[in-house]
Amino acid sequence: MSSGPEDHLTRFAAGDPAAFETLVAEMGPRLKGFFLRQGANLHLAEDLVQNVFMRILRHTPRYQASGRLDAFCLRVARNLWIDNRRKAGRVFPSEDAAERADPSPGPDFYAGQSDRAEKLRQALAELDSGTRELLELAVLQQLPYKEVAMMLEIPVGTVKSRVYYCLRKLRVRLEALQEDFS
Amino acid sequence: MDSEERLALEQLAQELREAHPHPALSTGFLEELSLRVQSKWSFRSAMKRNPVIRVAAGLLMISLVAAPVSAFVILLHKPKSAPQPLGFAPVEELPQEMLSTSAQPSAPTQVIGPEDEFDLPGSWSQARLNALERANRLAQAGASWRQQPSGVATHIEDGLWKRFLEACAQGDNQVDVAWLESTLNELRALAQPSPAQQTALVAWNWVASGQQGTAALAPLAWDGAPFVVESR
Repeated sequence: MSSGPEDHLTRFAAGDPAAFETLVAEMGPRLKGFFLRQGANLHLAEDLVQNVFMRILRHTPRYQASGRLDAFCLRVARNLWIDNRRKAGRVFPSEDAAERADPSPGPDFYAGQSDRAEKLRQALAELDSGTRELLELAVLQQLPYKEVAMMLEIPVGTVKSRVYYCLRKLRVRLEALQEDFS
Repeated sequence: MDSEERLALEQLAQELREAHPHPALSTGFLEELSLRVQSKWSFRSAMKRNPVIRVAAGLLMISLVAAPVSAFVILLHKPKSAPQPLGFAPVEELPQEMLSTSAQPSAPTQVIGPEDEFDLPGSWSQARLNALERANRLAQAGASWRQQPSGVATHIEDGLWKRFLEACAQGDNQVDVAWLESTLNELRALAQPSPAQQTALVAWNWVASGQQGTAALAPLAWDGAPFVVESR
């Protein structure tokens, strides 16, 4: 998703009403996946996605495309999630995998996927919150490192090296899970 | 990091993405969002506060609610005894030869709230309002078409007139502006338009500008069609 002339929000603010629906269609599932993996249940995840779009609508008149629109939406989502956790009495996302709600979108959502995919999901869920967040933004959401760096307020070089380190951590955890089951 | 390690980690990243497909939104998501927009900001305060919210709420409702235009207008405001002129300038001026000198175009049904609530900042884009009006007129034509008894004679051999009737029947509410303008220019350039081409010009021109023609200019129009002022 790009910024500038093709930016849905820019087009919407300029008078293209359909652009907002396109934005919802494109970003809604990504945002829902983001919240589910942060620990929200299905109902809360959709509720938060709605809140993201409500906030975006409210700020549309002041929106200026200076980066990627998907990064902007995910920034809003991340802030919303942090606010949500604060209200729930937890400043940071739960570190305890068992405490987090089942992030699965439904019993049949992953039907057809391999056993390895399931272990990958388990391995990701068992990592610490900082690692999960970085992999979420840089790998799952495929944001440019520059956007991730701005969001996490760390240098771009640090993002690159941490992504490398986090993927290696994930691989180690995955191999351990596969050994447990072999 | 050597290239082999880099490739392995890139492959792992790709596997991670494939293991986490984006979950679909629930079926009522857009509808619920539009209701939240409506309730958080009432339609009146939304229009006064933020014109962008007006467009979002109004068009989410148009696209979600499969209701004829009259029902949509009733939803927005109480209809008055006489139709209110919208007060907008048409997008284009019709060539004089396309209009009957005795034509008294009836005011199109108002789409957005009464004029006294139409409190827009001066920088509001006319294009956005025109888009709403075009969508409204096309929906109005659709409602009129669907009320016609079956067997109304319409010669649909011409692509553009056929396209208009299809749009009415299918309940299309979007008009591609560039296509519409290009089509109208082509039609106007015809030296001897066929009856179907004449009717298509009158019909699409009405969608574009709200200016009505006459039955003489639209020989294939159905009785009571909203884009002519005289019924056949």
